[in-house]
This record gives sequence, C-alpha cells and structure tokens, in this order.
Amino acid sequence: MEEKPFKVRTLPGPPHPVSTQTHPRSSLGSWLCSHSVPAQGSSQQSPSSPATESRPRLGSGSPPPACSSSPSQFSLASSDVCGPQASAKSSGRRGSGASSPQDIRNLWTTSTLSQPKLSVQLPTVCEDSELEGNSLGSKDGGWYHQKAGHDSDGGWEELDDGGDKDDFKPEEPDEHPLMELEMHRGSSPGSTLEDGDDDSRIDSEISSSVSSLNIPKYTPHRAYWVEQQNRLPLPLTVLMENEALEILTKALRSYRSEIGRDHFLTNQLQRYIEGLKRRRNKRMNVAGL
Amino acid sequence: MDVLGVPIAVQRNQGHLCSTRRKVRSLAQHSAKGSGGVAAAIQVARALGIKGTIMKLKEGSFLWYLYLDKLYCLLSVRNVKALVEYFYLLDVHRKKTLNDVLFYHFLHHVTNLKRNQITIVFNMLDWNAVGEIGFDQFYMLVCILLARENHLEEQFIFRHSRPVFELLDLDGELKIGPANFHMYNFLFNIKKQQLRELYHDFDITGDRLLNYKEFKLFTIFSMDKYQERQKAEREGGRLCSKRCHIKL
Repeated sequence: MEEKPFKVRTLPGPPHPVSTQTHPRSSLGSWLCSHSVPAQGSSQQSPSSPATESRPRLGSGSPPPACSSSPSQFSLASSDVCGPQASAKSSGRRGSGASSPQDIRNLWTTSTLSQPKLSVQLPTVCEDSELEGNSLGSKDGGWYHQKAGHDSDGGWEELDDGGDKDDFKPEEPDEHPLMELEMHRGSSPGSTLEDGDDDSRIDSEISSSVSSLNIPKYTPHRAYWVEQQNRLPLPLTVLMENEALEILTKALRSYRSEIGRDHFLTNQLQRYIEGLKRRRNKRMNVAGL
Repeated sequence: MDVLGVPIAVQRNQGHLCSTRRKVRSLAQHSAKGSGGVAAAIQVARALGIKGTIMKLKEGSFLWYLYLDKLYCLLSVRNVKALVEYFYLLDVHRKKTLNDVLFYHFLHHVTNLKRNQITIVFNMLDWNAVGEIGFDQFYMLVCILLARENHLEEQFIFRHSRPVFELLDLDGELKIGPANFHMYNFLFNIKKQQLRELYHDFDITGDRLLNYKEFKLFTIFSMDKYQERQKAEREGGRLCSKRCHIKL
C-alpha cells in the first residue's frame, strides 16, 4: 500500500438511513449481524496482527495446522479447527479424487474408523433418524433452530484408496432414507435436552458418521454433501457444551441464592443442566466403547 | 435476582440502568461545560470504578478459537453458525435472549472483565433496558472482544463506525461525550492521548461532543495512523533482518 500523507476525506456515500429521524440503535445488531465474511480468502491483504498468528482458529482460512496424529483422541486442535477447513477444502477438491497424505479428511476417517459401532447397518441408522425426527417436530421454530448436528465431515472419498475397503465393504445404500436422515437430524445441541430423547440423538451422531462411510465415492448426493458440510465438528460441540455447562452451573448458584430453589426459572435451569450432563455422559460412554 | 440487574423484575433493572445513565450523563455534562473535558471523563470513569485493565479472552475457551477476519472485522458464516449454536446452548429459557445473570457468568467465564465492567457492557448492549440481550447484540459483543483480543480496535471502529457510534451514544442524542469514550476504554482501547486529540482535532462544532460525522473523521484518521504504524513496523523488521543478514 502506498504511503500517503494524512488528509481529511469526505465521508463515503450518502448519510446513513438511520440518521436523525429514527432511533439511533435501531440498526445496531442487525446491521452487523447481516454482515459476515463470505469467503476466508479475502483476508489475505489485511495487515498482520501479532496476536492472531500463533493459535488455531475455527475456519480461519489459513493453511491447516498440523493436527494431532492420534486418531481416536478428542483433541480440539485436531477437530474444531480442522473440521471446517477440511470441509472447505474437500468441497474444492471433490472432483480430483486424490488426497494428499496430510489431508485432514484422513484424520477424520481414521478417527471414525476407530469407533466400534461401525458395523451398524443402515436400517438401524434410519430407525434412529425416525426417532429423532419425531422429537424435532415438537420444537418451536426460530431463526437459530436450524440444523447443526455434529460434523462427520467428508471422508468417504478415502474409502476406495486404501485397505479400508476390505474391512468395511461399503453397501449400496438407498439415497432417500439417508437424505431423510440428514434432513431430520437434530437441530442444535441443546434442542432436545428436555425432551428426553438424548439417546437417539447420540446414536444418530455416531451413525451419521457411519452412514457417510458407507457411501461409495461415486454416489454422493449433492444435498447430502451440502448437509455434511454444514455440520459442526463433534469436538467443537463437546467444547461448547462443556463450557456452557460450567457457565450454567455458576448461573444456577446465582439463581438459587437470589430467587430461590423453588422458582420455576431455577427449576428450568436445573433440568437443562441435568439434560446437558446426561448427554455428555452418554457421549463419553459411546466414545469410550 | 441479581447479579447485574434483574431479568425477572425488569422495572428494577430499568431503575438501575436509568440511575447509572443519569450519573454518567450528569458527569458528562459537567465535563463538557468545564475546561478539562478529558480529565473530567477520567474522573467519571474513576467514579464508576473503571480502571484501564486489558481485556483478555480466556485461553482455550470457545471464543478463543473463533477467527475474526482482519480486513472486514467480521466472523465467517461458519463461525457465526458455531456462535449461534453456542448462544442457543446458553439460552436456557428458550427466549432467544440471555438475561443479565447468564450474561454475567458468560462474560466472567470467557474474559477477565470485572463485575462493574460487565455491567457496563450489558447496559451498553441492552439499550432498551429490557434486562436481556439477543443474538444481534451478542454477535456484536463477540466481534468487539475478538477485535480487542487481536489488537484490531482501530480497524474495527473504522469498519463498523456506525454501530460503534450507536453503542457509545448512551443517551441517543446522536452525540458522544468524552466520558462515554473513556467508559468503554477497556473495550475499544482509546488512550488518553487519542481522546485528547480526538476532541481537539475533530470537534468541529466546538460543543465538546462528537456527532457521527466528526466521529467518522476520527476513525479515518485513526485508520491511517494504524496503517502507517503497521508499515513502519514492517520496514523496521525488514531493516533488522537485513542487518542480521549482513552480520552473518
């Protein structure tokens, strides 16, 4: 960038529509909220900042960091950072069919392969999804009641490459049940906490990874692929839940001391925390198997 | 109930907010009338118990892993999606908002901000004094925290001058006094010297208050200075590396 002496410039563009007549805060949140960076590549020209260089970021657009080599480890560095980047990359390379040895998707695949429930058959998966679909129907609609689930990012492309093929013998799944599964899968992490169907949710989290493994390379449905890309990585969700649990536990103490143990808000918060704990324990049990 | 105000009894909360705002306003008016506006602003900040602590995000927390685009000072869509999920987890009462208690514990958990600072942030975001903040405000706050953490305050203020102006304009008078600036120093890192320059150079109307246009000029000026500083640092680094190379 060329160096220019400072000179006062005129304000760019016309005055803001929310100027003197309307309420000054009327556009505050939605204005910023309606803006998000569409693509990460555009940030390359920006001036460097000292604090942001060293740590991993979620979908930062920088080259993927060297991830943990232990596949079964639930390390944050290998997951919530790599997940989005992997998905961004994999969507770009989809047609190539070749993956580098350091491709992050390999890590996810091996991590998923290490789970013992891989032998689950497709009908089981579909049953789980039906269960969950029922629970979803009870939720109230909202702008953030969108699908989130947990990332079982890409990974089936590697099936044809190595020896995994012999171990898993991918079946020819019917696309429509899979699509239904993906469309009906849980919305956000906390959505079913008080509905009591955590079990089906956890099962489908695992089985969704399985289902992605069962799909041969040549049959990824476009909508299914997009759905896979839109999921949050599972360890990121774990991190979020753990942090939320800590925060909410402290909040519960405040509730109890200020408004009393029997207040309906206290009870609501307590039930919510118990639901979160149950789900976390269930997930840990599944991961430990 | 309250850690900060009252989510249940909104009236009490409103009273609390009004009294805080009245206090700030009266002190700000006093400072505007007096000769030393900036000094009075600092006095206001002291009166409210605000010291110039450096806000830090807790390492390893969820926000710590989010990436704020350096150019646009915004999160990517993927990051926003993750943030929505996080907000939804914290929204215990399913009202698409966080009340002051939840907000306090959230901010206390992820930052090193003190109680009074958290109160100030909450009051700043909850402009309508309903005792709750929605996702829009939450997103704004997260962007501010990440900008502060990544030393991108000037860039952030420049890019989002209108929302920042509206946040700083506590009374909705479309003008900002030095007290307001100093009160949010821990968020936007506007130093004393900068504040003096700001009111000396950009208060064109001379009323010791900045309107949006004056504020915008300030952001442009700050941005230019920031870029010059960046360039000087880069050149300094290049010179240093050259010297090292010659020595070797």
